[in-house]
Amino acid sequence: MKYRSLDLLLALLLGVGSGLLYAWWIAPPQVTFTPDLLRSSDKEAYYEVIAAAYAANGDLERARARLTLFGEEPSAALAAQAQRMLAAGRPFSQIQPLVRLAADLGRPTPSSPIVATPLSAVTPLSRPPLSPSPTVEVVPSEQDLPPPTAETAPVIPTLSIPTLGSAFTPIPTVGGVFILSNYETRCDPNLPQGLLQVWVNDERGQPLAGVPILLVWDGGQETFYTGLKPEIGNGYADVLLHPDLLYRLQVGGGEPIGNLSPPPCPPESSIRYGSIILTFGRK
Amino acid sequence: MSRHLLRLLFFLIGLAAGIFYAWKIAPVRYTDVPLAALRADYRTDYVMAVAEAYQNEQDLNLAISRLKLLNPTSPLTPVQEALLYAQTHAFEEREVAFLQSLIQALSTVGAEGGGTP
Repeated sequence: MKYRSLDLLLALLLGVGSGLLYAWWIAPPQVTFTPDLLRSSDKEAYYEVIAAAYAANGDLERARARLTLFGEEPSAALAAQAQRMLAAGRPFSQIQPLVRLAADLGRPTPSSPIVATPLSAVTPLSRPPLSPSPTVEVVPSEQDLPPPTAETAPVIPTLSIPTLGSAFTPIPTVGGVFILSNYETRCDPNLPQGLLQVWVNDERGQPLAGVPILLVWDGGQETFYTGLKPEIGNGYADVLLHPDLLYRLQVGGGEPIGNLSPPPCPPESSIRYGSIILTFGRK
Repeated sequence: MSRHLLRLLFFLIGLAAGIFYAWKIAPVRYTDVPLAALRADYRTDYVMAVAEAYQNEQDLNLAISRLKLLNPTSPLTPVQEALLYAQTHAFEEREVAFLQSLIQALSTVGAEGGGTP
Protein backbone atom coordinates (compact mmCIF):
# COMPACT_ATOMS: atom_id res chain seq x y z
CA MET A 1 0.00 0.00 0.00
CA LYS A 2 2.81 2.35 0.94
CA TYR A 3 4.64 1.49 -2.27
CA ARG A 4 1.52 2.19 -4.30
CA SER A 5 0.98 5.66 -2.76
CA LEU A 6 4.56 6.62 -3.51
CA ASP A 7 4.16 5.34 -7.03
CA LEU A 8 1.12 7.51 -7.65
CA LEU A 9 2.70 10.56 -6.03
CA LEU A 10 5.66 10.26 -8.37
CA ALA A 11 3.33 10.03 -11.35
CA LEU A 12 1.53 13.15 -10.17
CA LEU A 13 4.77 15.07 -9.69
CA LEU A 14 6.03 13.95 -13.06
CA GLY A 15 2.80 15.23 -14.61
CA VAL A 16 3.09 18.58 -12.87
CA GLY A 17 6.71 18.94 -13.96
CA SER A 18 5.84 18.05 -17.54
CA GLY A 19 2.97 20.52 -17.51
CA LEU A 20 5.19 23.34 -16.27
CA LEU A 21 7.87 22.52 -18.80
CA TYR A 22 5.38 22.53 -21.62
CA ALA A 23 3.55 25.70 -20.60
CA TRP A 24 6.58 27.78 -19.63
CA TRP A 25 9.17 26.73 -22.21
CA ILE A 26 7.62 24.82 -25.09
CA ALA A 27 4.33 26.61 -25.60
CA PRO A 28 4.10 29.75 -23.49
CA PRO A 29 0.94 31.80 -24.05
CA GLN A 30 1.12 34.27 -26.92
CA VAL A 31 2.05 37.69 -25.59
CA THR A 32 1.67 41.02 -27.29
CA PHE A 33 4.82 43.01 -26.76
CA THR A 34 3.66 46.46 -25.79
CA PRO A 35 5.83 49.52 -25.12
CA ASP A 36 5.53 49.13 -21.34
CA LEU A 37 7.64 45.96 -21.62
CA LEU A 38 10.50 47.68 -23.39
CA ARG A 39 13.96 47.64 -21.93
CA SER A 40 14.89 50.94 -20.37
CA SER A 41 17.28 52.12 -23.09
CA ASP A 42 14.71 51.54 -25.83
CA LYS A 43 12.01 53.09 -23.70
CA GLU A 44 14.09 56.23 -23.34
CA ALA A 45 14.71 56.29 -27.08
CA TYR A 46 10.97 56.01 -27.64
CA TYR A 47 10.31 58.87 -25.22
CA GLU A 48 12.80 61.04 -27.10
CA VAL A 49 11.11 60.29 -30.40
CA ILE A 50 7.68 61.05 -28.97
CA ALA A 51 8.93 64.38 -27.62
CA ALA A 52 10.62 65.19 -30.92
CA ALA A 53 7.43 64.35 -32.81
CA TYR A 54 5.48 66.59 -30.45
CA ALA A 55 7.94 69.38 -31.10
CA ALA A 56 7.22 68.90 -34.79
CA ASN A 57 3.44 68.61 -34.81
CA GLY A 58 2.35 70.23 -31.53
CA ASP A 59 -0.28 67.50 -31.12
CA LEU A 60 -0.45 67.07 -27.37
CA GLU A 61 -3.24 64.49 -27.42
CA ARG A 62 -1.29 62.32 -29.81
CA ALA A 63 1.78 62.56 -27.60
CA ARG A 64 -0.31 61.78 -24.55
CA ALA A 65 -1.84 58.74 -26.25
CA ARG A 66 1.58 57.47 -27.17
CA LEU A 67 2.91 57.95 -23.66
CA THR A 68 -0.08 56.20 -22.15
CA LEU A 69 1.19 52.98 -23.71
CA PHE A 70 4.08 52.95 -21.25
CA GLY A 71 1.88 52.72 -18.20
CA GLU A 72 3.82 55.37 -16.32
CA GLU A 73 2.97 58.85 -15.19
CA PRO A 74 4.15 60.59 -18.39
CA SER A 75 5.14 63.96 -17.01
CA ALA A 76 7.28 62.50 -14.23
CA ALA A 77 8.85 59.92 -16.52
CA LEU A 78 9.80 62.57 -19.07
CA ALA A 79 11.22 64.86 -16.41
CA ALA A 80 13.24 62.03 -14.91
CA GLN A 81 14.65 61.17 -18.30
CA ALA A 82 15.50 64.84 -18.93
CA GLN A 83 17.43 64.85 -15.65
CA ARG A 84 19.36 61.74 -16.63
CA MET A 85 20.21 63.23 -20.01
CA LEU A 86 21.29 66.46 -18.36
CA ALA A 87 23.49 64.53 -15.97
CA ALA A 88 24.98 62.62 -18.88
CA GLY A 89 25.99 65.88 -20.52
CA ARG A 90 23.60 65.62 -23.46
CA PRO A 91 23.06 68.90 -25.31
CA PHE A 92 20.11 70.90 -24.14
CA SER A 93 18.70 71.03 -27.66
CA GLN A 94 17.98 67.30 -27.25
CA ILE A 95 16.59 67.70 -23.76
CA GLN A 96 14.35 70.68 -24.45
CA PRO A 97 11.59 68.74 -26.28
CA LEU A 98 11.27 66.38 -23.31
CA VAL A 99 11.09 69.24 -20.84
CA ARG A 100 8.56 71.07 -22.97
CA LEU A 101 6.37 68.01 -23.40
CA ALA A 102 6.54 67.24 -19.67
CA ALA A 103 5.50 70.81 -18.94
CA ASP A 104 2.69 70.85 -21.49
CA LEU A 105 1.30 67.58 -20.19
CA GLY A 106 0.92 69.20 -16.81
CA ARG A 107 -1.01 72.21 -17.96
CA PRO A 108 -4.53 72.56 -19.35
CA THR A 109 -3.47 74.15 -22.65
CA PRO A 110 -0.24 73.52 -24.52
CA SER A 111 2.44 76.14 -24.77
CA SER A 112 3.39 77.76 -28.01
CA PRO A 113 5.26 75.58 -30.49
CA ILE A 114 8.91 75.20 -29.78
CA VAL A 115 10.98 77.85 -31.43
CA ALA A 116 14.55 76.98 -32.20
CA THR A 117 16.41 79.17 -29.75
CA PRO A 118 20.15 79.43 -30.23
CA LEU A 119 21.63 77.96 -27.11
CA SER A 120 25.27 77.99 -28.03
CA ALA A 121 26.01 80.14 -25.01
CA VAL A 122 24.47 77.63 -22.63
CA THR A 123 27.00 75.32 -21.14
CA PRO A 124 25.89 71.86 -20.13
CA LEU A 125 26.38 70.67 -16.58
CA SER A 126 30.04 70.14 -15.99
CA ARG A 127 29.35 67.12 -13.83
CA PRO A 128 26.38 64.94 -13.06
CA PRO A 129 24.12 65.70 -10.12
CA LEU A 130 25.07 63.94 -6.91
CA SER A 131 21.68 62.35 -6.54
CA PRO A 132 18.70 61.49 -8.71
CA SER A 133 17.22 64.77 -7.60
CA PRO A 134 17.84 67.57 -10.07
CA THR A 135 19.06 69.74 -7.23
CA VAL A 136 22.63 70.62 -8.05
CA GLU A 137 24.92 71.24 -5.13
CA VAL A 138 27.54 73.86 -5.74
CA VAL A 139 30.26 73.34 -3.15
CA PRO A 140 33.80 74.46 -3.77
CA SER A 141 35.50 72.29 -1.19
CA GLU A 142 34.86 70.14 1.84
CA GLN A 143 34.87 72.45 4.81
CA ASP A 144 32.75 73.14 7.83
CA LEU A 145 30.17 75.83 7.60
CA PRO A 146 31.00 78.82 9.79
CA PRO A 147 28.27 79.66 12.26
CA PRO A 148 26.45 82.89 11.50
CA THR A 149 26.99 85.73 13.90
CA ALA A 150 24.45 88.18 15.21
CA GLU A 151 26.32 90.96 13.45
CA THR A 152 25.99 89.28 10.12
CA ALA A 153 23.54 91.27 8.11
CA PRO A 154 21.63 89.46 5.43
CA VAL A 155 22.99 90.16 2.01
CA ILE A 156 20.36 91.70 -0.18
CA PRO A 157 20.87 90.78 -3.80
CA THR A 158 21.30 93.65 -6.14
CA LEU A 159 20.85 94.04 -9.81
CA SER A 160 24.29 94.55 -11.19
CA ILE A 161 26.23 94.40 -14.38
CA PRO A 162 28.48 91.40 -14.00
CA THR A 163 32.17 91.75 -13.83
CA LEU A 164 32.70 88.15 -14.89
CA GLY A 165 31.92 89.32 -18.39
CA SER A 166 32.47 86.21 -20.44
CA ALA A 167 30.32 84.05 -18.23
CA PHE A 168 27.26 86.13 -18.93
CA THR A 169 26.95 85.89 -22.64
CA PRO A 170 23.51 87.15 -23.52
CA ILE A 171 21.22 84.33 -24.60
CA PRO A 172 18.72 85.29 -27.27
CA THR A 173 15.22 84.65 -26.00
CA VAL A 174 11.83 84.70 -27.58
CA GLY A 175 10.01 87.69 -26.14
CA GLY A 176 11.40 90.03 -23.51
CA VAL A 177 14.05 89.56 -20.88
CA PHE A 178 13.46 88.03 -17.47
CA ILE A 179 13.17 90.53 -14.64
CA LEU A 180 13.33 89.75 -10.92
CA SER A 181 9.83 90.36 -9.61
CA ASN A 182 10.12 89.00 -6.09
CA TYR A 183 12.88 88.19 -3.63
CA GLU A 184 12.24 86.29 -0.43
CA THR A 185 14.31 84.53 2.23
CA ARG A 186 13.11 81.81 4.57
CA CYS A 187 14.47 80.00 7.59
CA ASP A 188 12.44 76.87 7.09
CA PRO A 189 13.91 73.80 8.79
CA ASN A 190 12.06 71.63 6.31
CA LEU A 191 14.13 72.98 3.44
CA PRO A 192 17.81 72.21 2.83
CA GLN A 193 20.12 74.92 4.08
CA GLY A 194 21.30 77.24 1.33
CA LEU A 195 18.57 76.22 -1.10
CA LEU A 196 18.01 78.70 -3.90
CA GLN A 197 14.57 78.32 -5.44
CA VAL A 198 13.87 80.01 -8.74
CA TRP A 199 10.45 80.46 -10.30
CA VAL A 200 10.25 81.68 -13.88
CA ASN A 201 7.04 82.90 -15.49
CA ASP A 202 6.13 84.30 -18.88
CA GLU A 203 4.45 87.63 -19.61
CA ARG A 204 1.08 86.24 -18.52
CA GLY A 205 2.39 84.81 -15.30
CA GLN A 206 2.36 81.25 -16.60
CA PRO A 207 5.29 79.03 -15.53
CA LEU A 208 7.94 78.53 -18.17
CA ALA A 209 9.79 75.24 -18.50
CA GLY A 210 13.17 74.75 -20.12
CA VAL A 211 14.60 78.15 -19.26
CA PRO A 212 18.37 77.99 -18.66
CA ILE A 213 19.64 79.59 -15.46
CA LEU A 214 23.29 80.43 -15.24
CA LEU A 215 24.88 80.54 -11.79
CA VAL A 216 28.39 81.93 -11.49
CA TRP A 217 30.63 82.10 -8.46
CA ASP A 218 34.28 82.77 -7.90
CA GLY A 219 35.95 79.86 -9.59
CA GLY A 220 33.06 78.17 -11.28
CA GLN A 221 29.71 78.24 -12.94
CA GLU A 222 26.74 75.95 -13.42
CA THR A 223 23.71 75.95 -15.68
CA PHE A 224 20.45 74.43 -14.60
CA TYR A 225 16.96 74.52 -16.05
CA THR A 226 13.38 75.08 -15.04
CA GLY A 227 10.83 72.35 -15.51
CA LEU A 228 12.84 69.40 -14.27
CA LYS A 229 10.65 69.12 -11.16
CA PRO A 230 7.16 69.30 -12.64
CA GLU A 231 5.71 67.96 -9.41
CA ILE A 232 6.68 71.31 -7.85
CA GLY A 233 6.09 73.53 -10.85
CA ASN A 234 6.88 73.76 -14.53
CA GLY A 235 8.70 77.04 -14.06
CA TYR A 236 10.61 75.87 -11.01
CA ALA A 237 14.29 75.10 -10.55
CA ASP A 238 16.54 74.91 -7.51
CA VAL A 239 20.16 74.66 -6.54
CA LEU A 240 22.12 74.50 -3.28
CA LEU A 241 24.36 77.43 -2.45
CA HIS A 242 27.41 77.38 -0.25
CA PRO A 243 27.32 80.01 2.52
CA ASP A 244 30.93 81.07 1.98
CA LEU A 245 30.40 82.12 -1.59
CA LEU A 246 28.73 84.97 -3.39
CA TYR A 247 26.83 84.05 -6.49
CA ARG A 248 25.54 85.81 -9.55
CA LEU A 249 22.54 84.43 -11.34
CA GLN A 250 21.14 85.05 -14.80
CA VAL A 251 17.82 83.74 -16.03
CA GLY A 252 17.63 83.32 -19.78
CA GLY A 253 19.10 86.44 -21.30
CA GLY A 254 17.92 88.68 -18.46
CA GLU A 255 19.79 90.99 -16.16
CA PRO A 256 22.16 89.17 -13.79
CA ILE A 257 21.38 89.19 -10.10
CA GLY A 258 24.48 89.62 -7.94
CA ASN A 259 25.56 89.09 -4.32
CA LEU A 260 23.44 86.02 -3.74
CA SER A 261 24.32 84.07 -0.62
CA PRO A 262 22.35 81.89 1.80
CA PRO A 263 20.80 84.14 4.47
CA PRO A 264 21.86 83.46 8.08
CA CYS A 265 19.04 82.42 10.35
CA PRO A 266 18.43 83.74 13.88
CA PRO A 267 19.95 81.80 16.81
CA GLU A 268 16.54 80.51 17.94
CA SER A 269 16.14 78.82 14.60
CA SER A 270 17.17 75.21 14.36
CA ILE A 271 19.12 75.86 11.17
CA ARG A 272 22.07 78.15 10.49
CA TYR A 273 21.28 79.15 6.95
CA GLY A 274 18.01 79.67 5.20
CA SER A 275 16.83 79.54 1.64
CA ILE A 276 16.26 82.14 -1.04
CA ILE A 277 13.23 82.28 -3.31
CA LEU A 278 13.49 84.32 -6.48
CA THR A 279 10.64 84.88 -8.87
CA PHE A 280 11.25 86.11 -12.39
CA GLY A 281 8.81 87.31 -14.97
CA ARG A 282 9.34 88.06 -18.62
CA LYS A 283 8.76 91.64 -19.64
CA MET B 1 -8.42 -0.22 -12.21
CA SER B 2 -5.00 -1.48 -13.03
CA ARG B 3 -1.95 0.12 -11.48
CA HIS B 4 -0.75 1.41 -14.85
CA LEU B 5 -4.02 3.13 -15.56
CA LEU B 6 -4.01 4.69 -12.14
CA ARG B 7 -0.46 5.99 -12.70
CA LEU B 8 -1.50 7.44 -16.05
CA LEU B 9 -4.49 9.11 -14.46
CA PHE B 10 -2.33 10.74 -11.79
CA PHE B 11 0.18 11.81 -14.42
CA LEU B 12 -2.56 13.47 -16.47
CA ILE B 13 -3.96 15.19 -13.42
CA GLY B 14 -0.48 16.54 -12.64
CA LEU B 15 0.02 17.57 -16.25
CA ALA B 16 -3.23 19.52 -16.31
CA ALA B 17 -2.45 21.14 -12.98
CA GLY B 18 1.03 22.14 -14.19
CA ILE B 19 -0.28 23.64 -17.42
CA PHE B 20 -3.06 25.48 -15.60
CA TYR B 21 -0.59 26.91 -13.12
CA ALA B 22 1.91 28.00 -15.79
CA TRP B 23 -0.63 29.51 -18.15
CA LYS B 24 -3.17 31.02 -15.79
CA ILE B 25 -1.68 31.53 -12.36
CA ALA B 26 1.97 32.26 -13.05
CA PRO B 27 2.41 32.89 -16.77
CA VAL B 28 5.76 33.87 -18.23
CA ARG B 29 6.42 37.57 -17.67
CA TYR B 30 8.48 39.30 -20.30
CA THR B 31 10.69 42.25 -19.48
CA ASP B 32 13.48 44.12 -21.25
CA VAL B 33 11.85 43.64 -24.61
CA PRO B 34 13.67 45.32 -27.52
CA LEU B 35 11.86 47.79 -29.75
CA ALA B 36 12.14 45.41 -32.67
CA ALA B 37 9.96 42.87 -30.86
CA LEU B 38 6.98 45.21 -30.56
CA ARG B 39 3.77 44.31 -32.33
CA ALA B 40 3.48 45.71 -35.87
CA ASP B 41 1.12 48.54 -34.96
CA TYR B 42 3.41 49.74 -32.17
CA ARG B 43 6.44 49.52 -34.45
CA THR B 44 4.56 51.51 -37.05
CA ASP B 45 3.71 54.17 -34.51
CA TYR B 46 7.36 54.43 -33.50
CA VAL B 47 8.43 54.82 -37.14
CA MET B 48 5.67 57.38 -37.65
CA ALA B 49 6.97 59.40 -34.72
CA VAL B 50 10.49 59.23 -36.17
CA ALA B 51 9.13 60.44 -39.52
CA GLU B 52 7.22 63.30 -37.87
CA ALA B 53 10.31 64.35 -35.95
CA TYR B 54 12.39 64.16 -39.12
CA GLN B 55 10.08 66.63 -40.84
CA ASN B 56 11.00 69.18 -38.19
CA GLU B 57 14.62 68.30 -37.45
CA GLN B 58 15.77 67.38 -40.97
CA ASP B 59 18.53 65.38 -39.31
CA LEU B 60 18.85 62.17 -41.27
CA ASN B 61 21.63 60.78 -39.11
CA LEU B 62 19.42 61.14 -36.05
CA ALA B 63 16.52 59.46 -37.85
CA ILE B 64 18.76 56.60 -38.93
CA SER B 65 20.08 56.07 -35.42
CA ARG B 66 16.51 55.92 -34.16
CA LEU B 67 15.46 53.47 -36.86
CA LYS B 68 18.44 51.24 -36.23
CA LEU B 69 16.82 50.31 -32.93
CA LEU B 70 14.26 48.47 -35.04
CA ASN B 71 16.63 47.08 -37.61
CA PRO B 72 20.36 47.59 -37.01
CA THR B 73 21.36 46.45 -40.48
CA SER B 74 18.72 48.15 -42.59
CA PRO B 75 16.99 51.22 -41.13
CA LEU B 76 15.02 51.59 -44.35
CA THR B 77 13.21 48.29 -43.89
CA PRO B 78 11.09 49.27 -40.86
CA VAL B 79 9.98 52.43 -42.67
CA GLN B 80 8.93 50.41 -45.69
CA GLU B 81 7.05 48.03 -43.41
CA ALA B 82 5.41 50.96 -41.66
CA LEU B 83 4.37 52.45 -44.99
CA LEU B 84 2.80 49.17 -46.01
CA TYR B 85 0.96 48.99 -42.69
CA ALA B 86 -0.17 52.60 -43.02
CA GLN B 87 -1.48 52.07 -46.54
CA THR B 88 -3.38 48.95 -45.56
CA HIS B 89 -4.85 50.50 -42.44
CA ALA B 90 -6.08 53.76 -43.95
CA PHE B 91 -3.69 56.15 -42.29
CA GLU B 92 -4.06 59.83 -43.12
CA GLU B 93 -2.48 61.01 -46.34
CA ARG B 94 -0.28 63.38 -44.40
CA GLU B 95 1.13 60.50 -42.35
CA VAL B 96 1.75 58.39 -45.42
CA ALA B 97 3.51 61.37 -46.98
CA PHE B 98 5.79 61.66 -43.93
CA LEU B 99 6.81 58.02 -44.32
CA GLN B 100 7.34 58.38 -48.05
CA SER B 101 9.46 61.44 -47.48
CA LEU B 102 11.61 59.57 -44.98
CA ILE B 103 11.97 56.61 -47.35
CA GLN B 104 13.06 58.96 -50.09
CA ALA B 105 15.65 60.58 -47.86
CA LEU B 106 16.96 57.22 -46.67
CA SER B 107 17.13 55.88 -50.20
CA THR B 108 19.25 58.76 -51.38
CA VAL B 109 21.94 57.96 -48.84
CA GLY B 110 21.79 54.22 -49.23
CA ALA B 111 20.50 53.61 -45.73
CA GLU B 112 19.05 50.26 -46.75
CA GLY B 113 22.46 48.84 -46.05
CA GLY B 114 22.83 50.60 -42.76
CA GLY B 115 25.11 53.30 -44.11
CA THR B 116 25.00 56.81 -42.80
CA PRO B 117 25.30 59.87 -44.98
